[in-house]
Parts: sequence; C-alpha cells; structure tokens
Amino acid sequence: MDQQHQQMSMNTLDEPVYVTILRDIKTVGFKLYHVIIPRGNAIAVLRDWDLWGPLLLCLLMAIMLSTSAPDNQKALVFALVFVVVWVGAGLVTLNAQVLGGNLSLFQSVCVLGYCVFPLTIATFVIWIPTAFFSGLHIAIKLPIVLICLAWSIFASYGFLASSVPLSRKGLATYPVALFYIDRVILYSFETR
Amino acid sequence: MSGDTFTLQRIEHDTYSPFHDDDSSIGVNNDPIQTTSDQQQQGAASAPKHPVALFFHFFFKVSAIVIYLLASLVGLSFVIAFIVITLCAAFDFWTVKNVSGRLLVGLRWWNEIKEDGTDRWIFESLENKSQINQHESFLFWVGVIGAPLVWILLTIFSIISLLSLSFGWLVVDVVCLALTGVNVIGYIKCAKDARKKVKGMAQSYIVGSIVNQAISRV
Repeated sequence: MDQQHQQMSMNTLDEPVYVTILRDIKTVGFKLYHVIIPRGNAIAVLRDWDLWGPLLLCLLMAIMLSTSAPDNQKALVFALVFVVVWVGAGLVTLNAQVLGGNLSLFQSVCVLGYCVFPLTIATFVIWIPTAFFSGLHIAIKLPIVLICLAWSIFASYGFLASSVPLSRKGLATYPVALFYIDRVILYSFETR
Repeated sequence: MSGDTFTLQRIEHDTYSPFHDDDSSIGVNNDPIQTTSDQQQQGAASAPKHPVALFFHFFFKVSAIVIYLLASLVGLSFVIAFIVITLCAAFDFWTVKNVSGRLLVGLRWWNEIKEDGTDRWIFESLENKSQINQHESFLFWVGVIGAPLVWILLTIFSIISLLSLSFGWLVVDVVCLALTGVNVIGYIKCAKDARKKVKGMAQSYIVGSIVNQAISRV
C-alpha cells in the first residue's frame, strides 16, 4: 500500500500538453550541453534517458553523408548509417554489461547517441564546403574529425566509466572508440 | 446506504480495455440515482471530449503507413521517405506515450532506471474512471494495438521480398515496429496495473464500509 501511495503521488495525468513538450525539450538540451562540456553529474543525466537526441543526430548525419554519396548508393548509405548507429550502440552496451557494468540498454544507447554530437558537428563543418564548393583536402578533414573524435570519446567515457568497475574501464571504452572510429573513416575518406 | 452502493458501482465500472469486456456500463446508465454532474458527463459521452488528441493519435500512425505504401508509387526518393516515416513514427510514439494515453484512457507509463541499472515500471492511472469516454477509449486501443499489427505485416512482406527490394525498407519496418511495439507493451502493463489498483480500492472500500457500519451500530 505504501508503494502504491508513492506511485500515486506522482501525478502527471492532468498536466497541459505544453508542459509535456517543454519537459522533453529541456532534457534534450540539458544532455547536449553536458556532452559539449563534460562535467561531474553524469548520474543525473543518465537517470532520465531519452532517444530523441540520438534519433535526430543520427538522421542529420545520415542525411549529410547520403547527399555526398553517389546517386545509386544514396539509399544504401542512408540505411547503413542507421543500422551501424543502432546496432553498434547495442553491441557496445552488451560488452559493457558483460564486463559487469550496471547500465541498461536504453541508457547506454542514449549516452552513445548523444555523444555523437561532436562528430555531427565535424560532419557539418566538412559537409558545408563539400556540398556548395568542392571537397576538402584530406589534410584539412582529418584534424577536424580527429579532434571531434577525441571529444566524443572523452564525453562518453565520462558517462560510461561511472558505471563500469574500475579495472575494466579500458575494456569498456575500447569498443566505444571503435564505434566512433568507423564513422571517422566514413567522413574522412568519403570522396565526391 | 444506496448512495454507497452507487459509488461502489462507480469504482468497479471500468473503462474499455482489451482485458475485460463486461457490460457494466448498462447498469450505470439505468441507475435511477444519478447526480446532475453524472448526467452532464453522460451527455458529453457521445461527443469526443478530446478531438485534437484523438486526431493526433491517428494522424502520425496513418501518415507513416500511407507514405510507406505510396512512396514507391509516387516516386518519392528512399532517403526522403525514410526520414519522413521515421519522424512520423517517432512523433507518434511521443504522442501516444505522453499525450493521447493520459487524455483518452487516463493511463500513463514511465520506465525509470534505478541506480543498479535495472529498470522499474511506473504506472499512473486515473482514479475516477467516469471522466473517460468509452468511444475514445475504444479508439485509443484500436490505434495502439492496430499500428504494430500493420507493421508486423509489412515487415513480413519486406522479408519475403528482400531479394527483389533493397534492405532499406526492412530497416524502416523494424524502426516503426519497435516504436509502436514499446507503446503496446507499456500500455498493456499499465492497464493491468490500473485494474489491479481499482480492485484493491474496491476491496478496501468494502472493508471500510463494513467497519463503518459496525462502528455506527455500536
């Protein structure tokens, strides 16, 4: 009965719709902010996970990559980016769980999805000149992408490391790095 | 005392849900003791109280399925169709989970993650079921259960035609099936939980009224 009471006290059934919308927009903004400037309270971010950020970032990235792909491969590139992001996130989570991490599937997908944000910025920076003028030289692309890669890994390490035993942090982070590096290869070596 | 039995009926009178189909509403309709507020609610029961919520409950679902079916006929490019369908499915998921569920059937589910990584379901349900419109409730469940059934069918079709079509459409199917499926699971759990709560409330009410009677006789 006590537990029931506790659940009843949480009452959001009568709230106006704009409150619902605002709450979700706020949590998305809050998380993006924490990815850009990694800081201490990772647990608060992890507790209320959402998949809006991962979905939008994934769509943005897939759009940008598919526009610079050859015509007959546009659809394939687009679908592949989608599969790689979600299945990859799932595999990294599985690895973290096997290593004794106490993270649920959705939390982990949420974190990995949000931590793509720096790489999405990199894609955007590279995509603008490629789309309107000409492709950038690899010597310019590579540093941009590598800086953002380090940023992504650093941000996701801050989140994931808090939930995996200390001695296994390296093992948990390594596949995360791979998860982002495959994208780096896509961005850097894709030519028009 | 007659007033008491009436409220008891009120508590037991549940809204439409796929897990029981007793016609308790007839008993309430023919009940001679009705307060004016109840009559107003009954009058409003025929007209939808939340037409906007009802519209959006179906709008995103139907547009996702229609675009999926018509994309190749109209000649829409796969990338654009993929984006539009996925966004429709995501908006539909959000609408059903956060808005139409609580307005149309008075239910809402949350899945919270505890600190040890296991998840915990939290269910909210309206205590006063008389606020819920029977037709709205029926249409809500039609949408929630119907959408994943349609996507299961479409997924089967794309698996069968995988050899001739690109596998991209299968990705669309899986995304939409996952998004609609989560809502079905959430709301079925939530409806079961709500029924349990109603039963518990009715039982505690009966016990309470017996105790009250005993006290008044003493």
